Amino acid sequence: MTYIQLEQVSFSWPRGEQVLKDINLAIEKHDTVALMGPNGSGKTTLGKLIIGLLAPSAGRVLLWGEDAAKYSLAARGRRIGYVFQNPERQFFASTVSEEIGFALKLRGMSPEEAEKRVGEMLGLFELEAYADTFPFNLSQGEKQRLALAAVFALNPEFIILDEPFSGLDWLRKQHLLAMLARVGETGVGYLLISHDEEMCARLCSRVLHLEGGELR
Amino acid sequence: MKDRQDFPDVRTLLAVVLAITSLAIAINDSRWLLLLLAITLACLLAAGVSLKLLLRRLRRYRWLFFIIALAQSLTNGSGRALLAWRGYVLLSSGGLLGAAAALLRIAIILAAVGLLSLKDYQQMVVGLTQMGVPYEFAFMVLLAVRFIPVLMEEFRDSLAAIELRGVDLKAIPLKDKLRVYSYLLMPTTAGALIRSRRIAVAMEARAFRAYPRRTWLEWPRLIPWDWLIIVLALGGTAGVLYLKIRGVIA
Repeated sequence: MTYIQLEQVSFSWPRGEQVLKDINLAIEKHDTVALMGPNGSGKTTLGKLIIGLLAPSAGRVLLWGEDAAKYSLAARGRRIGYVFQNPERQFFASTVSEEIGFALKLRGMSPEEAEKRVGEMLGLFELEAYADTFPFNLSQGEKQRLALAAVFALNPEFIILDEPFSGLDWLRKQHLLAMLARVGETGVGYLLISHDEEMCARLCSRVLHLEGGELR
Repeated sequence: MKDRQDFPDVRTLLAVVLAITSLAIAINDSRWLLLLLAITLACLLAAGVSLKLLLRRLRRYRWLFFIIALAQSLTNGSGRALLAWRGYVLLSSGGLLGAAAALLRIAIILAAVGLLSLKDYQQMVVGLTQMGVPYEFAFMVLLAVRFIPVLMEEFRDSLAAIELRGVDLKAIPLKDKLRVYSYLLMPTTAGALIRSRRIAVAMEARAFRAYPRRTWLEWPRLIPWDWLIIVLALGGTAGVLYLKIRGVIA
């Protein structure tokens, strides 16, 4: 059973502009895949189609061997983590700790367990000093780390990361690279959407190129 | 400054929207409202506005339509009783007509506003300024209007972000659901504040209000067709309102 599969997937915006054309793709659970391509080539759209933020105009997205249309956003989110291109878009709590622990509590974890998990994530993603900081006040690099920590806290089987290196300087990129390498070591697969060739080559075992809405 | 003709002018569109929405509010008779809706749709088609997009927009307000229609039919007990319970009229012919009029009224207003989609933000600011609205005020109002869909999108994104963390909003208890929705106000408000601050800085950096007068790149001019439409729209509205006052139409 293929973990994520796209069969002849096409996507057009309601006004008719075609973004993706006949995409066929298979990703296994522990794969570390990079999706590269120029701006506007449809990389983010492809990620959103997999996670369910968009629905294909034609073709099928299959998750865990079944048509993804039957899974709600929450059902997909329980197994696949999604880190937005702009991390601010996924923040909704008033402190860094709360941001990481919010969904844990709502998903039934006891407060003690949730607190322990939050502590682990703060440590893993080097955010201890900002535990009580308002997420919007963090730097871009810290926001990226928080977005990753909040998703990783939920023990996802797979993560989709949309342009995690954008807006980061060389040092911050190296930092995030080390974090992602750590994530990879835990056996969690990921789809890295980026146009940073060096990072993709260092982090992923497979690199896909998207151009003009088609996989090359 | 370029003297330009751009038919239909913003002022023409605003006059038409003002005429249609005023009539939609003033008229109560469903038959006249139906006629007004037909005229509005004809205007949209003539202006090249996609009715498909309009229908999609109207669909977003379906719950509002339903609630207003329900409230009208329950609170307006005039006419023949169609459904009653222990002497209390739940549905009457007057209530049904009232609900139909309310639905038509909202549909007309939403459709008429669609005419303004023909112009971009900058053209609207120029148009309002030409009508005598102070530039700063026109700019501020349109800036705020432009942000409404952005804020709505952010709210939807935050909702999606919560669901993507595996939280099934339909399945969680009401108490938690309320907590989640109260949380959603935070990123939306914070995002709006942060963006306003950035825009204020960007505007000042571009010397907003630094000089007493400003130069316009384009200054559209009304052509005879614009004048004809404005006169017809405003004159027609005045005529219908006169008939309404005289009691010829309800």
